[in-house]
Amino acid sequence: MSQRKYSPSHEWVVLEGNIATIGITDYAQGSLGTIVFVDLPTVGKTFKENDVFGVVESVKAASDLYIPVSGEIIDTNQALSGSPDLINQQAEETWIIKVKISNPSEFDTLLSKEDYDALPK
Amino acid sequence: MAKLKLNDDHIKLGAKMVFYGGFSMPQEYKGLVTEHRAVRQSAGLFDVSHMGRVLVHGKDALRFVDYLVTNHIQNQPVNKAIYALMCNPEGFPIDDLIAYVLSPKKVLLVINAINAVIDMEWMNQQKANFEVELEVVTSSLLQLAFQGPSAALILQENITKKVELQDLKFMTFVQTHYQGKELLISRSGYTGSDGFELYADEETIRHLWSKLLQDSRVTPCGLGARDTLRFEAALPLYSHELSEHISPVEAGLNFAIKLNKDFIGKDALAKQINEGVSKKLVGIELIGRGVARAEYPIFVGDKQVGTITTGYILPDSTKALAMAIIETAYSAIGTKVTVMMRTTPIEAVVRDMIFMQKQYKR
Repeated sequence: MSQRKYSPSHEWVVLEGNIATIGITDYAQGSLGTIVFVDLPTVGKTFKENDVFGVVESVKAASDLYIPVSGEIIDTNQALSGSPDLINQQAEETWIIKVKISNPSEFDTLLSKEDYDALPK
Repeated sequence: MAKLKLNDDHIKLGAKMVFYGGFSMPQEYKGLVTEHRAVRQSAGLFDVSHMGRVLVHGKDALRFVDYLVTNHIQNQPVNKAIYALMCNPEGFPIDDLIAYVLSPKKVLLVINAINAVIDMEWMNQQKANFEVELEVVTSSLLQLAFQGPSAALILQENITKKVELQDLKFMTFVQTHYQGKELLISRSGYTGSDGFELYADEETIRHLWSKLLQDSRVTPCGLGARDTLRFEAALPLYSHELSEHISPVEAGLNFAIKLNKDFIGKDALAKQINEGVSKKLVGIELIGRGVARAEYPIFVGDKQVGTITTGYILPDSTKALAMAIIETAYSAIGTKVTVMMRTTPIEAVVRDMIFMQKQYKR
């Protein structure tokens, strides 16, 4: 049984066992505009909660991506190197990284969809 | 922070606002890519009233501006618009500007918002030996840019029947009237497409803004598209391709520098033209994947040889293009370089700056 949660920095996280799948929200892609490049991390690299794990570049600017849960990168979405605008088309279905998480309690502190949608934006 | 006179009109259209040059400005309305395409394919309307506008009046108006800037002003006919640089004695630009010769005794200068205060200080310091008066008209004479291949037709149909726009050539203008008010229509712009800049009082500009937007062929455009469009046309932006450290010779703007007249900075620029410069503005294309953004360093081996000044992956393109200032020794087309994108080195090559063919009405 998987569960989807959200970070205040506009990432979504789906947790299955100890594997977190992470992307950015539809709100985030809408405010970025057309995405032209995603700078992905190297598989095997470890990050702490709220570290910058990559960069998403829209036509106008580069924006950092923040990892909502600590852990090790086990996979990155290679489809994004050819078609970064997949994120514009289906943000909530287009994953960016998969992470083996090291601290499950971090996931519990993330926002529900209702709480995320209620954030002032 | 100042608001544009048409601020409420922009908010009503759902503009995302951004701070620029002392003003709260529309960054985009429906989206940068839509707006960029509109200008290339149909017509886009920009409120560029943040630009500084200064009237130079008096017997010596043309002679004074001629002395201040690099290009010919004094011998120009009325109704001609001239691109020029206003430099310090060392040949570095204080600003780049457009001078509109309104009459033998009156010139309108359109200057960059970010430099408006410094420009006025500089011009006031230089005017002692000239019979001129300077009048800042930024808040009373507003400015729209109406750009794109359909702009001429739409303007002719909606705004002016009496002026034959097909006879109006690039960098010339007409001083006409619209509903009893003065209206200056200039065939010029900052996009590389055909188009116009319109100057009039607040009431007239507000009317033109809403009337033109009622035409379904017209898209409101913000600063985001203004920058991608001027970049694609390889037009310089002060503080990026030109600055107090990048001279007009280094930026490749020799066409606007006339050495057969006297002006501030002439000796320094003549020396640069005759002896060559140590750095130059070039085009850069990434071979590896990424985007080259302003201020990224450029390396050959371990040595930094240049800096990106502006870069994009433009709408409807997959190429990462940039303009960069680079040591002359590495400026030849085809030179292999490395652009440091954050912590990742990306292979790139020096290229020309012809990212598009300009569509000016000559």
